[in-house]
Amino acid sequence: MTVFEEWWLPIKAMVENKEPLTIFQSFYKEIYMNVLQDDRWRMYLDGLWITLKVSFFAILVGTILGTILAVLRLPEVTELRYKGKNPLRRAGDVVLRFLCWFAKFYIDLMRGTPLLLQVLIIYYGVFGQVRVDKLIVGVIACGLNSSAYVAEIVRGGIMSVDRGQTEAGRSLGFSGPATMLWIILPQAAKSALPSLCNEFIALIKETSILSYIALTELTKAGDYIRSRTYSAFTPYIISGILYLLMTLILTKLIGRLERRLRNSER
Amino acid sequence: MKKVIAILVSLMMLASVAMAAAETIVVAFNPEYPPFEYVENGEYMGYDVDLIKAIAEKAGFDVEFEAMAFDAVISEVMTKKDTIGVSGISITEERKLNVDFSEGYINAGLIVVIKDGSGLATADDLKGKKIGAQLGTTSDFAAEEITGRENTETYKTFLDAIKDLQGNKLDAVIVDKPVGMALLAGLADDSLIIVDMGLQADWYGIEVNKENPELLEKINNALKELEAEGFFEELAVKYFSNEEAAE
Amino acid sequence: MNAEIILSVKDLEKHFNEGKLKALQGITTEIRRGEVVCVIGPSGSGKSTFLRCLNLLEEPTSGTILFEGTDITDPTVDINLHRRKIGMVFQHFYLFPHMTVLRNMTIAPIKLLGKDKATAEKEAMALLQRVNLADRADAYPSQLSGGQKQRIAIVRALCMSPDVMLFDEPTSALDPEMVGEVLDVMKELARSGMTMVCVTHEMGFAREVADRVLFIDEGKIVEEGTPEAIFSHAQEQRTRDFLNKVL
Repeated sequence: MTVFEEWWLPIKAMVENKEPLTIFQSFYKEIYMNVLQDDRWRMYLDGLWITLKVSFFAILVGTILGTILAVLRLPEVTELRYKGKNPLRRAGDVVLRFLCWFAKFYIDLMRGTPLLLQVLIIYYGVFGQVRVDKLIVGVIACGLNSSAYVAEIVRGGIMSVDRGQTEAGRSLGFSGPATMLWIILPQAAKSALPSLCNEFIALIKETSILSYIALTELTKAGDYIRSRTYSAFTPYIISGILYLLMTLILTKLIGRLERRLRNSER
Repeated sequence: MKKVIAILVSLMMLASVAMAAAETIVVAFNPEYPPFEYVENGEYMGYDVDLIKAIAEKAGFDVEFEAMAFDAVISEVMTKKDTIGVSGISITEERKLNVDFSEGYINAGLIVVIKDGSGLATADDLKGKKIGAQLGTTSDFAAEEITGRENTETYKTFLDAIKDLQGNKLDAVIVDKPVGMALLAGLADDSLIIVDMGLQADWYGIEVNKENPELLEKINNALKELEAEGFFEELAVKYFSNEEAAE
Repeated sequence: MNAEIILSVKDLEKHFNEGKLKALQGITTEIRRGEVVCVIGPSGSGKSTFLRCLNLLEEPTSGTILFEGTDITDPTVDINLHRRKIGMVFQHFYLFPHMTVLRNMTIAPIKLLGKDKATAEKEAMALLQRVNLADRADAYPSQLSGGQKQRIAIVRALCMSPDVMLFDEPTSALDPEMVGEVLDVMKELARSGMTMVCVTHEMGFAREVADRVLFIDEGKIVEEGTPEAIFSHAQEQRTRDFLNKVL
């Protein structure tokens, strides 16, 4: 018998005998039932781990895809026209034109529909008869959704960079894409960082929607424990604290990155 | 001025007398659980609905139904003294520490829904398989006991679990016998079959706020009277007849 | 003057706003290896547009530009390969703010010419020595003065070992006390035999360094010749008017 259980048994007896509890006893009752008993803290940590994994990979997918989408929305790219006669490059021009159109459509679609519906459609529609890891569904759904928001943030960042930077890059002989990659995007990232941080925080919290497809992430872990203990809200508070910890740490890390970038070009 | 106050006071007294005369109890429930509770033609229907109406009549209070998600029922009951939960809720020792339960009023047994041809026949066959159930129901507890927590997938509703069974993401779904029968009859999916593996269910009870022992006593007394009158047999005939027909 | 022709411009036109603004109206000229050409003219005359057309930062509306024998206005030509050989210095420097001075200078040789880092940095350091900025190699552009920035911008372009250098009003954005240090670097560069095309307002510099001066107004070359011919014996009234205003 653990020491926690020893403290618990007299309180449990009091509850069963309908004796009033002091504030501390009530508090311990909640902690014991929702955290200590049956190693339930493990459930939160497992849920936290899954939320972390989904968020990390969704942010990765969202950032890479979002950056590509952002580039496809730039006037320099959408107004690009190939005037030569090489048939291969003419075809490439048509493909590019389609991609630009699709990027705009995709961003409107993803921003204009609820994430929950997107999750359900991907889970039940795209992976209809496939036994797929729900984690992967979560990463895909949240990543695709986030990419639309990231795209607009990054686009704003790119447009805030002086046009002269592009000209300087091109005049050295860098191609358009190489100029974007080496010269424009690093500068765009710096100015987009605060908004990106916002988006990442929102994404971490929105992964809680994945509990709808029964992925046992942090919110679902709280739900699970609550279904056992019938505590009105204690599991939610514990999950909430863990979300807060995650977002605070992320904010701190990005803040540090921001400061480093700022210091380098005072 | 005094007169006005006097009138107001007497009105208030009148009002409180009227309220005392017909105390209204709010019934928190999740009407997505036929035949226990469901909506038909805009009316709340079902075993639990009929039962609580009969209890209310015996115990002398009015009921007002409030539909919500299954996992919201408990919060309502815990935080509001005049709210009870009647929604096919399993009585467990742990839950008793946070709410009071009436005497158990039905134990309908559990069934297992599987895909036709999967060859699962006994509870032993289910060990290590992915089993789905509605979160916090007696089916959920049973699944966890058979196949472990890591293989148990829990859902907001039983039908969500069935969707994952249809989508090959689960091997089996455990559900209350009458509920499974009723919902699958409506689903009309030939690829699903029902197996009775003799799984043990928990009793259903009515949730009452811990601050309201008087109400609990009234409900328990009414349950006793209804049982003596043979009311539960009537309910079984009314709501479980298609189940008998299926067997 | 029989050296090899590096740039040959023929009937160059550049229109903006769908032809409403005709910035260049038929420019024809040649630039030979080792030549220093200064382009002067009133603001809005098209002299900057002319310069920017030479490496296709502005796409000409019509006309041809032969760079070392290749028509770079042909869309099938990979302009990026030719730009490596055409260095450009801007009025507003456009150093990359997120990179150190050394990185600014080595990124293009490393990424485009495939030089290894050590070689590229050695060459960059040698150039920094030449402009007396070796001690600023690890500084970021924001830590430099305007004159220092422009000197870095010049050596950044030189790191690609270009065949010709284009200068677009390189001293116009500088505080007066910093103009000298930049012009000194340009003079030194001219003496070393670099082919240069400079759009400039520094008439003293043009007179001292240029082999040839182009006076451009309203998108046309009004007059060209040696500095002596232009500054002391201008034939055209427009040239004389302009020189009277600026000298």
